[in-house]
Amino acid sequence: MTKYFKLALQIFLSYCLIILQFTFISSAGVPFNLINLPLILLILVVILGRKDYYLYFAFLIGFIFDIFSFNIFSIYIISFFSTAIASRYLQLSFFTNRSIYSFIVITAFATVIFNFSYQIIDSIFSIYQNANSFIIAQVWFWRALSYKLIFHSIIMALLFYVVKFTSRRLRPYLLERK
Amino acid sequence: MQKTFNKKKIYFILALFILLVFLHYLNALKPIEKTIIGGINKGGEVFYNLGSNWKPSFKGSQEERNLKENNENLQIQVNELLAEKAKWQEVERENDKLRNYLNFFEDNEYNKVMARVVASDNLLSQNANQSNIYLNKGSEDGLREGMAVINEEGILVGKILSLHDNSAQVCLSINEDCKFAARFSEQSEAQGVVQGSLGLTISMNLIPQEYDINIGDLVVSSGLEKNIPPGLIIGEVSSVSKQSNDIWQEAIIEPLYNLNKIDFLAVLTL
Repeated sequence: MTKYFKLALQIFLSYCLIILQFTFISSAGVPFNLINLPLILLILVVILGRKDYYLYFAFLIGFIFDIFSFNIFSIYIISFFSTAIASRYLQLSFFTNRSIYSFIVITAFATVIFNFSYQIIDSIFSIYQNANSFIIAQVWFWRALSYKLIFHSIIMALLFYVVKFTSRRLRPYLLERK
Repeated sequence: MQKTFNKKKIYFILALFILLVFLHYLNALKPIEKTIIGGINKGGEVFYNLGSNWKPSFKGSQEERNLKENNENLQIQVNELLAEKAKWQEVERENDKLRNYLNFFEDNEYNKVMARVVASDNLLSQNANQSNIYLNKGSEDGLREGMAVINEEGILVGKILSLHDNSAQVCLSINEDCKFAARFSEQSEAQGVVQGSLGLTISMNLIPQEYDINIGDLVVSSGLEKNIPPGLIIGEVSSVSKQSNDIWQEAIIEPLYNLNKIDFLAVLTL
């Protein structure tokens, strides 16, 4: 029972975060409206979450994003899901120590992967809908991406210290000889 | 920590994904989708204004800091009163806005649906020049694609781009993908198409040289579009580009609404 209650609570909190993203952050001025809080939380779940929880979390936030957005359904599920898997791969293969540098580098990679996968899928679907030019080739995309990298890295660095001082998950494991 | 991916779970989620896509397009997920969008709409009613209030306060932060230094002592004394006043001002502002809508609709016989802005673009469309906003009313409330969206002064803010049952996407007139059939209010025969420019202003191209366009001229909807009545103000001319060797001239139009102050809007259902 506690397990299901915990799951329901986590889903509800994720939903609240997405509401905050859509309503509060989206209406804030440029460049603050470029911050993607659910993506940052997803990376945190990828690094610190238990087992394969990040897969379900990526799916859930992608699903809610897809429902509210007017883009082709599935674009956000695919983007968040591919970002989660790529981030996990990076973490397991290259950034295994849970240092602040690993957190920031994984966040930066995840931000790039998310934006690229979103834009590529969007461009593919736009071909059939009176498309604009290829968006990745435009200046504003790179400018927005730079802002996102800066903001996401700063927020992740702050979250790293919050987790470090409030949880045991980042403490090193030491074997004691008795 | 596990060192490999759990392929079974990934396959399970992929299967779930395919199932959801099917169910979505079969409209079987409608009740869930409506509930989720309803929740976001409710959140938007609370948080959207907070976010947009944050925007101008950031822009003017330097100015505010200087003022704050000078008035610090006085402000401590009046803080409580200001908080009270701000609360009433918000109520008064909303009342004024709704009264203006009432006056506008008494003067013009339009049917309208009032809607609240609950979100604007950032993640939902990542193109900087596509300024879209999202309303808490949708096709269930009688909205249709292409309908005009106006503010309390009757100024054309945008038009409905696409719809869900209980939400709508509105492209603003400054959006590059948003086009309106328009004319000059003084010279009704000078017609053309206006289009957003750089997410900031509106431009009107292909105006024949024979028309004398002046700065300050009003541009209104021409009524040639199906769901947009004629005579709705789009903006006023801020500059004219006219070369004697060209066939056409171009006008840059300043929209007459403040993007930071858009919270209630009316959709003309005609």
